[in-house]
This record gives sequence, C-alpha cells and structure tokens, in this order.
Amino acid sequence: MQFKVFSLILLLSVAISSCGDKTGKGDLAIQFLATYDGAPLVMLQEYPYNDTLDILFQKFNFYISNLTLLEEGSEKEREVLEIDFVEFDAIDDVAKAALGFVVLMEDLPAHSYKGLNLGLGVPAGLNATQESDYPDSHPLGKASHYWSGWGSYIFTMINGKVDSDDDGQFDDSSVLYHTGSDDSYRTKEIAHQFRVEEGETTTIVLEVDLHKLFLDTDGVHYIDIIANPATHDITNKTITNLVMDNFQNALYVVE
Amino acid sequence: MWWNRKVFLLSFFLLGFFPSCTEDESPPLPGDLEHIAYDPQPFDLAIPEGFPPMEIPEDNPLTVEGVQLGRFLFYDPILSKDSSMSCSSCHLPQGSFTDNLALSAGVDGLTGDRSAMSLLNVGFYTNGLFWDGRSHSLEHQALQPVENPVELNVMWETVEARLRKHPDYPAMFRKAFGIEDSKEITRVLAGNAIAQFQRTLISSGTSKFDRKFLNKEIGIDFSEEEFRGFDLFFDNPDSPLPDGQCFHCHNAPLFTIDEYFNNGLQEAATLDDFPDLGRGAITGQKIDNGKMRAPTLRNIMLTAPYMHDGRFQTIEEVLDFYNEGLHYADNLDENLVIPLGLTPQMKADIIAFLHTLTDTAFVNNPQFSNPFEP
Repeated sequence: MQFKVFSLILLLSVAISSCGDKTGKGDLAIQFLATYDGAPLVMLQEYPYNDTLDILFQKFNFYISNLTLLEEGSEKEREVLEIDFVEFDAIDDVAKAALGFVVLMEDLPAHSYKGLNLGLGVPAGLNATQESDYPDSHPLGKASHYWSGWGSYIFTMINGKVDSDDDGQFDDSSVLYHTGSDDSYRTKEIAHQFRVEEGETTTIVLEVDLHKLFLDTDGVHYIDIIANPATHDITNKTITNLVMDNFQNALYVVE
Repeated sequence: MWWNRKVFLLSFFLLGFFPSCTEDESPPLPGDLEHIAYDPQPFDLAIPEGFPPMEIPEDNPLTVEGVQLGRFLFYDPILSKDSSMSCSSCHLPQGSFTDNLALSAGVDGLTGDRSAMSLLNVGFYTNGLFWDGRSHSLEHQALQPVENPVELNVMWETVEARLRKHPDYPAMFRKAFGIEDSKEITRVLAGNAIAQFQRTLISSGTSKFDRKFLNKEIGIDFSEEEFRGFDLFFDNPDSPLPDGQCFHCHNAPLFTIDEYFNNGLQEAATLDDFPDLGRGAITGQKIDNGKMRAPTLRNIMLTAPYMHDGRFQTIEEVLDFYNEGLHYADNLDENLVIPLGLTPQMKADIIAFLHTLTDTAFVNNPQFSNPFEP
C-alpha cells in the first residue's frame, strides 16, 4: 500500500514539476525611454536642433549587450542577457513614447541587486560574426544593421532629416549617424538598488536623451550636422566615437 | 483506513488528469487513405554559402512529400474559379517567379493595383509578405490569392471539394501530412504544402556576385564597370565614389533588408494623401503610409517592369528616378533626401553590377518547373 501511495505521489510530482518550476524566480523588465531635450521622442515630429536648424527623426535604435546584474552583498555579477536590439522607430505618438521599448528577462533568481552593467553596441566576439550567421528574426540577423564595408554591426542608428531654410520641409539635409566597429563599443554601469521578487516583474526605467548624443566635444554646443551629415567614413571615427561617448553619458536610470 | 481514503482520492485526482483514458474506445471507421503508407522524408534545403539560415515553423517542417504536393498545387489551375489560372500564372520561373507585367489580370480579367512580387528567396523573410507585409507567414500568404476577386476568385470550400475528389491529390496529402481520410484535406494543409514549396525557391549561389564574393571562387573577375558599381552600391569606404544609397534597403546577401520604405515614388501633399497607403494600411500608423516592401534585387534584370505598380519599364528608368525624380514627404526615406548626383557612367556602373546578381540556374532549376509539363 505504501508503495502505491509513493508511486502516485511521485507521478503527481513529475506532472506538476513538468509545468516549470518558478519557485524563487521573478522577471526583470528594462523599459527604455527616449526623449529629446526632456520631451518624449516621437518619430517624424519636429524638434529644434540648434538656433538655426530643425530636425525630425525616422530611426533611433541600438544594440545592448552583456547585461549583468550586480548582486547586493557580494562582488558577484549575474549575466542575464547577451544581446538585444532596442528600437524606437515605430513610436509615432506621445502615448507610445511613454511606453518606450521593453526588454524582458524571465526567470531570474529572486535577489537584491545594487546595480547593473550593460554594453552599448555589439561586443567584439559577436561583432566578428555577421548577419548571415543568424536567422532573420535574431537581433544579429538584421541585414539593415550589418555593414560589410566596416566589417561591423551598426551599433546605433540615428536617422533623420533637417529643415535649415525654415520652409517646413525637411529636405535640406539628412542625418545618418551610424556607429560601429569594436573601438566604438561602450559599457555603462548604473548604480541602482532593486530587488527581483519571486513571481513578480520588476521594472527598471532607463532613459536616453537623444539630443545629448549630438553634443560636441565642448559639451555645450552640438555637432555641425550640415557639415557632417553622415558617419560613413571608416578612416575618421571622431564623430562615431563622440556619439558613443555621449550615449554613455546620456543614458540614466529613472528613479 | 485513512490510507485507503488517500489512495482513493489520489486515484480520483489522477483520473481527472487523464480523462481521455476513460472515453469511448470503440474503434473508429477506417479512413479511405489509411491503406497508403505515411513515411514522410525530411527535405534538405540547399542554402548557398553566405546566406542566413532559414526559419521554418515547427508545425510545418519541410518534407519531400510536402514540397512535391506544394509544387503540384502551385502549378495547378484547380485553385482558380474556372480552372484557368494557378499561382504560377503570375509567378513564372523565367521571370524569377514574376509575370513581367505591371499589373496582373485575374480569372475574370480584373487587375489589381500591385505588381506580382518575385518569390526568389521568399522563405527567408520574417517581416511580412506582399508589398505591404499583410501576411505574417508563407502559410498565411499562400491562402490569400485563391479567394481574391482580382486573382483566382474561388471559395476555398470549392477548392477543398475539388481536391478531395481528385484522383491523385488525396494520396499526395496522405503522404505529405498523414491524413487518414480525404475528408481531412483542408485549405490549411494546401497552404502548408504551397508554403513548403515556396521555401525551396532559393538562389542557386551561382550568380557572378555569389561566385566572387560569397563562394570566393578563384578566377571570377569583375570588370572595372562592375567593380565601380559594387562600390557605388555598397558605399565602399575604400572607394572615392559616392554613396549610391542602394544597400541601405537592398543589402547583401538577400539584397533586401526585409523592411518597408517610402522611396519617394508617390506624390502626396500630406501623409494621409498617398494614392496607395501600402504598409500604413496594414499597421494603421500614419508614419507607415506610402511605404512598400523593399524587394530583392537578386535577378532584378529578369523582373521588369519595376516598382509596386510596375510603372518603370527599364532599370535605367529606375536609376533616373532615384537620381532626380523623388517626391518629398515627411517619411521619405532619409537616405534619399539629397539627390544622388549620379553621372551617366555611375548609373551604367550600378546597372553593370546589378547584372552580376542574375541567377539563371535558379530560373532554370528543374525542381522549380511546372510538373504538369513534360
């Protein structure tokens, strides 16, 4: 009799455990928000670039990578994401801008953390691969984001158009700021106390101000986008690296 | 005693888990196809060097039998109202699976407002199919033209009935999908089979471009013109030539990036005024109005006329348009805002390069040809 009961309990345990053990685990959502001078970033909306130019954006997207969580009370880092692609290209109103783009990491150990590290761009190991190594739906399978001329993924893509003659048409110049290559890769450490709770989704909001990505080296003025409409010259990565430095500084956690 | 009660309760609980074991077990009537063996063989896709892996849905794996059935259905006019047209009527191998018409006429002589797209490498796309991306999968796409009034214009119920009483198809469906009775033939299975066949429509990997750059064959030489066209097309950073702005939407290896653009083709005073809303009609987003899928440029020299409405008869007209003829809108692709400034020589160079994308082995592949023809 005892054996029968034991067998039944064992069978039940197997049946229940096959549903997936979520004990001690929770989810972490990182909500990325994009702004422009503090206002929600909306595609095709007009923004002042400087005293003389207006700009509208059509693409703003970037890779994040090697996301690790810094455990409270230890030096341990927990890697939770290798690579993902964040994009704001389809955000066409303020309501969508307020939702931003969410990267969800499931089934993380419930634990307290003191911060996180993430890479901005594609780290060297993955950047040595190319889009044809991946299926179309993989973040690294985007043919739009691999440039064989550079032998690199495009880490950030900022595309827009400029109205410099104030006629309301953004047809005077384009802005094609694409960053890439290993020396443009940046990392960002963000100190932030949070806890992944069992059975719950914890949300961290990270905001990036796009206008700040265009800050010139003096940190006050903005890059001359008429003289430098694109960053396609692999022999001159001054602007590319500047944009990535700015990106590092313009990304922060919303408390 | 309490042990007995526990065992009883646990047993009762388990019975709830496995209710199917307690249902009527009287043998079902045999289907009319059960005597035919069902032993599908996996189909090995020949994906050329340098191409990405293809994502195949788990619920529709490629089999030799499924692909063969799909090929027959693709070419069979049984899928049209008056049995006069098939999928292949608008997607002919010699046109790289287009019909080389600006607009195609359906069974009733009616024409749609878009040109038939090439099916070359269509199995690699994951971001929607048709010019506006309205189908999310090949399985879904394959069902659409049958009931479309300007295409095959027949109800699927009619087609299903024809297939069920056909002398050959029930056995083919059995071999492909394991159905036990011809009554189980459905549009979903037909669509799955056609999707399987379409996934096999892959480049041969023997175009001049492929042999030189993807296969890296020794002895494949590009002419100076072709090399200059390559540099213009890809904005080669080592070249002094300007950016021809081609690869942003038509990057290798598929020569499409599987996305949607307003390329300035349509005149519109505002984003609401495009004659054909394209992608915007599907997403409901104004910023997508007027956008169309960037088609592959592989075999582009075989697929004239060009653009979603077939308005350009020659590739030269297309180059002239991109060089000087675009209409502004706020969502005009940002790469096309400034006139390209291509010289006649540069345009000729780009066209010379586009010729290197021609893949005659693909269009002549006997595995893709009409199985009803000798």
